Amino acid sequence: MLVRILCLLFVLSVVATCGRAAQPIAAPSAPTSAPTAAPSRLTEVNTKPLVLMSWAEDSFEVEAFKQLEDAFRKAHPDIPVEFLITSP
Amino acid sequence: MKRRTVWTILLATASLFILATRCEYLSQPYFDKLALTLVAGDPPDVAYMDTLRAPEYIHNGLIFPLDAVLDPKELEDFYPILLANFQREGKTYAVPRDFQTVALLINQDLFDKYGLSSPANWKELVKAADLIQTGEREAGHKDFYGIGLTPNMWNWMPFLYQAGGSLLDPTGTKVTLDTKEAEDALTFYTDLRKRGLAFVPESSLSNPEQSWPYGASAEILSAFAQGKVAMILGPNIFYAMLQNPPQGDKPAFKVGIQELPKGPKAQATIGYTVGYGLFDKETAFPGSNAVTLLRFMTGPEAMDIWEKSVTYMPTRRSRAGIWIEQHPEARAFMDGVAHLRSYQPAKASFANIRTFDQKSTVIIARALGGQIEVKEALNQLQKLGDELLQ
Repeated sequence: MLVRILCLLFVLSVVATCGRAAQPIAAPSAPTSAPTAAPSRLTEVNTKPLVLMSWAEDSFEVEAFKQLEDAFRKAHPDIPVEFLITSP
Repeated sequence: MKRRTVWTILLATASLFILATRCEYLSQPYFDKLALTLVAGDPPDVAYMDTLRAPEYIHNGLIFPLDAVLDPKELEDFYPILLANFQREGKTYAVPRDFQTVALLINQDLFDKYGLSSPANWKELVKAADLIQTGEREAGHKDFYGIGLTPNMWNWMPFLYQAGGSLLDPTGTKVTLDTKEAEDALTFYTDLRKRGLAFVPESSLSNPEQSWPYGASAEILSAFAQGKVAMILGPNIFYAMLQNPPQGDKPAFKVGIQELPKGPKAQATIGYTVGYGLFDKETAFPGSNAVTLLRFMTGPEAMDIWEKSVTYMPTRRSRAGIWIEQHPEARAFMDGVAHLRSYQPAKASFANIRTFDQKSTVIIARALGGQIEVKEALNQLQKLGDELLQ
């Protein structure tokens, strides 16, 4: 997996050198502290759903995430959410 | 130690073919996918993190501190030793969801047969291994061993801490394997095999690179399940696999779970935790929906779901009793939290941690196999750690 990440970074650095946008993983432009002032609630309206990423190791975990997504949607019907579950 | 066995991976592969009604499932490995989203500038709002990956993500500023978005009182319910995996310089970057610890799995039937209680210290560990092994061999089980060990760092590290040693100094920036305590621990560990009391998979000694990372662990687990060894060290997932083995080998005896024996200096074990953090600066602000989701995923309602499995111990102190009620036979895993020790480097990349784990296994294998002396092994481990973990 590490090899694939390194290959990806290499490819992207080549792409960036050729003048196309790319954001290297180890040098993000983002600040390292979260904003302290809450943007207007409107900033969260009409945007894409929240994305949660996690991994599932077995059928128990797969079922747990289904239950969790259902429970979250039930508790917060106004918050669109998408659970993105991968292999470990 | 993070670390799950090859059986788990096989299970995971099979389970990913199960389609859910809503969740989107990808066969792509998690950290590959996460890296792609980060490179693309479109990270998930909330994402999973573990003990060994956290240092790299925190050090590189890819995960946002939670101090401005969570009330410190919200974190008071979490075990501090688990939170520490996600904290740096006074800031908290993720909230732990569940954890495992390493305990002693024993063949309870044999301990009862020989009138033994669980070993409370190193001396009793040796005594129990010797007594049961001698008795079983005299009864005709010629290949029986008192204890199963592997050359993996995770298997030896509890002894290191029990001897008063450590992998790293308290700052996580200096490797501390050139100590008398480390020598005591590795001497004790290798002596178990020298005395003929420890089953160490032959392949892990002759070809440790190939058996790394899961081969030797799977072999000792299998040997234990088949009644060929009286004791092994293992995390919660080992016990779960013994209860529901994917490839047979369900034990024909009662499995006992006890806290690891005390060493000459301390009672200690190691563990592994996972948690959730905020990865998207656009949604990482107080009161955001992402914060609501993070709270939910580490809150009591979510833990109620995970606690049904013996593998997932809740990270909230207020939930410990609830987990123990559901898994009373496994409470030693939970009790181990009182003696957890950190082995997490402060800044090392996961690639370096992984390389250290692999190469240290080779060194410990040579020490177990008698190819190098304990002092030489520790010199090599220290040098390796200096190169990779600092």
